[in-house]
Amino acid sequence: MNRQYGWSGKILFIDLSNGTTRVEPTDQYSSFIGGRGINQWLLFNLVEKNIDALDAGNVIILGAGPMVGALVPSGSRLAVDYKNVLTEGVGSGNSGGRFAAEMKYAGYDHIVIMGKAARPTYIYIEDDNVYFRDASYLWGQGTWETENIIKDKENEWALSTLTIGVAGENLVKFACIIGDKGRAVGYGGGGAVMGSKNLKAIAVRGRNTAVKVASPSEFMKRVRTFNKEIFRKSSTVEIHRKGGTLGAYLLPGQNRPHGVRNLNEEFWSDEAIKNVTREKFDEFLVRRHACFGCPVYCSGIYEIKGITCEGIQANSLRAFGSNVDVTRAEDVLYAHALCNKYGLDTDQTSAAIAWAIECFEKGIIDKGDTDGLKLKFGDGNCVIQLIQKIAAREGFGHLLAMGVHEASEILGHGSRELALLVKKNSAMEAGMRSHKAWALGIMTSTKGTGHLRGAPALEFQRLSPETSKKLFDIEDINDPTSYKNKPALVVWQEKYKGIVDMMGTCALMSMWMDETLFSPEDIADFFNDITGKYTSANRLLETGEALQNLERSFNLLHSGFGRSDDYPPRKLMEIPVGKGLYAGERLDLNMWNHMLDEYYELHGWDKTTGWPTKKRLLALGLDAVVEKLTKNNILLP
Amino acid sequence: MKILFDKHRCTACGLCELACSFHHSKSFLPDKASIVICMDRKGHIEIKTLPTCDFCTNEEIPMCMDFCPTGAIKLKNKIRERPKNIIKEST
Repeated sequence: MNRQYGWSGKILFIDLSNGTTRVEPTDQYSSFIGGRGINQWLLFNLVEKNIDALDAGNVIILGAGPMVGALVPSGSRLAVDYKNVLTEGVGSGNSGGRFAAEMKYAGYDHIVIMGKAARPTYIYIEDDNVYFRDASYLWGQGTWETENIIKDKENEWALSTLTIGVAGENLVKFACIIGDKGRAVGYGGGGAVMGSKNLKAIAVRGRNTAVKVASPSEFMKRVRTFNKEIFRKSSTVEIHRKGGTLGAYLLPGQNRPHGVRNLNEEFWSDEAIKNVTREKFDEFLVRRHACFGCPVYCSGIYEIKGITCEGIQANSLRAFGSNVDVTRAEDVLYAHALCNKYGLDTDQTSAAIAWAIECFEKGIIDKGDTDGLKLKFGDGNCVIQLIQKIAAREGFGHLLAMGVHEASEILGHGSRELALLVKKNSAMEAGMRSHKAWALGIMTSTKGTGHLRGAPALEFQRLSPETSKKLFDIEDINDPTSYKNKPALVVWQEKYKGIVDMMGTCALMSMWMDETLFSPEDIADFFNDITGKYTSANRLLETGEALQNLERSFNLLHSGFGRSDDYPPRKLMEIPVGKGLYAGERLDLNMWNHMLDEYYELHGWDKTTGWPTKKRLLALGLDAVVEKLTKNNILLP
Repeated sequence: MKILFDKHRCTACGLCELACSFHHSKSFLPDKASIVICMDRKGHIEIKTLPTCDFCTNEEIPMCMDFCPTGAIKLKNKIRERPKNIIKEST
């Protein structure tokens, strides 16, 4: 790795237990490029099998890829990786904002946080200096205000933060980390991992390390072409500039899939949708807001009931709109704002609340269990009260704070049957019954569901056979309800998303949902201009494949996940879509088995166990992975 | 010559800072830029230029203006009419 270009060149290790730091060069890990790639390699090597996710032995690894902090459009993403609190496997999130770039300007491509502080602490990294600050007075503060207070305290308004709210402090198992006041590192309970380390916040300010590019003229020309031609022609960019992911996908009259009432239905009426369109939320909008270095400005800052927050996107609309059947925009936005303030992952919060409401409506629980609250779909006030209870772990909220897997185990009485669990995490997505590649990517996601691994949003675009042949060398993926060719699309998406996350660019501005943005060849061109290395798109896709194998191996080692953990929840196979464009659609078990066989075959994995094979891991250069698995008595097929 | 900002159009993306730092140093580091974007505790934006701003005299148009995705930056001698919502001018 040429550390002069693209990378900052250093990895900072911080041990909270003894207040020490050390630095290693980045280049020894160059085979995994950066961002999520190097993060996952470090995670695999640093965390031993029997370490609990909330033990001091877990680590939080922050990673900024070589495309972060320069002018690459959307090159601002921060990868954050840790052992997952809910699944005990891969914990992984990604956020925009400014933190990743600021980290590089301070001189670090990655920051590894280990150990546990004796008392509430925040870390302030200012170029070469690392300060351990008392955070006792910040304990209990919301995420937005915590950053303000730290900025005042350090007398530095250009610093960037990752913070937790009360949910992380209280070890809510799906507490998230909030970056730059309002960007969420969502999945896997990263906020709880920070809380378990008594770590309220990480702040960073970089003044000294410039990001250099190897071929400045070519690079600037490429950036201009992207900004002025490719982005200008993209309908996705245009939509996101108007209102982020709320901009176009969930409008009345479209008959698109929605996740409704604990995902018992995927059709939401136009009467409901028209109350929660982007325009309704715009009444609370302070301004549109971009991630650092991104020309798309898909986000916004909102003010609601005294809370300033960043947000609201399609995920939160599904979480606190359709999935709980709330149609009052003010309630939906307030629920989202509270989750940002408390540091709660909106997907898993919604999953827990919707599950509880269904349990109540089916008579499994009553007011005696819920602190006197009557739970019902469509009641925004009930949803808001439950969010507050979860964050505080108060009363009934204590049960929900464990996540649906554990809560349903404790509650029993058939409550597990109402859940949508995959790998102990709740699948909280729309379109899983109708869109088969989407569903497969979610169920096989290494971080335990979620649409940001192998699930291709491109499946919603209904590409022509000619286009899919040209782009992926896959014959036809036009019909979302068809199972044909979908495993190949998912495998391609896994590799591609791996590249995006290793480089530090944004999934929204990529071929994840828009075939015109950032092809693997485009990414290779940017990478080569920046780093002075000469790699090909195919080589990058191979690295994406290695990353997929690495994460699958981490899950095997820590959670024992295999084929039996890649199946959809019962509801998605038994309850068909009731109305709309995809009425009657559901997942078929036999067809699912065929898809899994093909999916494992394409990866070169064992079809019976769903495990990576020794041969495949060695071919990808993952000898150390084979060695660690073997040492832990896992006999690879 | 003056750089004019429309803070209501600005999205705080920082592309102007990055482009400006490239103009000055052929690398990317906001602290090397002559333009500073700052967001206050409520999410409101402040923009200022520093005395090091040379209006990119060697470029066709100032780099900050060239890369601004929303047209929030104008060069005063290139416009006939003053835009609304000007909040800060370089000195």
